[in-house]
Amino acid sequence: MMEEELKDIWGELKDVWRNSSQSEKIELQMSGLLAELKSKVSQFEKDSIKKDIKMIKSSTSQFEKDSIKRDVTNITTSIRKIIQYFKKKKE
Amino acid sequence: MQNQTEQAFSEILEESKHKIYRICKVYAVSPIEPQDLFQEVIIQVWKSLPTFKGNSSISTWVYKVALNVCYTSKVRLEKKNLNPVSLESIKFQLAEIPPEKDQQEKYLALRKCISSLNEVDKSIIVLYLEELPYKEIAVITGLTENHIAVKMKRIRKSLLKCITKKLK
Repeated sequence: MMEEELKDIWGELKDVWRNSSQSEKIELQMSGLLAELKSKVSQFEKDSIKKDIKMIKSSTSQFEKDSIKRDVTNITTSIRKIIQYFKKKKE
Repeated sequence: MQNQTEQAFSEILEESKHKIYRICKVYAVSPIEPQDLFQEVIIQVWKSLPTFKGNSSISTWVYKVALNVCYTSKVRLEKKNLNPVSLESIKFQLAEIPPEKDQQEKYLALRKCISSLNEVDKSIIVLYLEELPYKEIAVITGLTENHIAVKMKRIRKSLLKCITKKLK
């Protein structure tokens, strides 16, 4: 195909492409849209955070739970010892 | 500040609504309708606008957002993780004068052939049809201008072959 002919074909395809959005009218009620977006976007974000928390909770393995429990027990024991030490010192 | 954002958002939308919709029409795959994708893009433009740094033109940025949303919606649909939203303030109506049959046939062939391309080629040809220069296509796709020029030669050839076949 000749260069000129190709240029014409693509020119026509570009027109077809550009006119494709004219088959429908898009009406935007801007003030209503802004209000909707403000309320919906914050709700999406809340839902998304909730979903993330749920996923994190569900993906925490039993091993991690046991490990955290063990750490908490160790910390509690250490704090008790420290309190006892200070109590004895006071006496 | 909020008012400025709202003003900018309104202007961008009025200016870009048709180009966003053209992209959505190519990327919409059943059961997603182009109108659903359009709304997803609008929401993303609204959410991302405060982070727009002006590194590119606003028009380039809108194209980038639209392509990203359309692509990720497809992925989310495949993972069954897409719940299309409904914005009541956006209305679509058929135009009073329908497009000519010949134009409509050509458009359908073009759309079908574009849909059969891989994601990168699809976004390149869509941006080419939008008459963006290679420099801007490079910014949006992350490819070099030379790479785009090479790809364009091949895409145009295969697309023309596909369209000719469909219109025979």
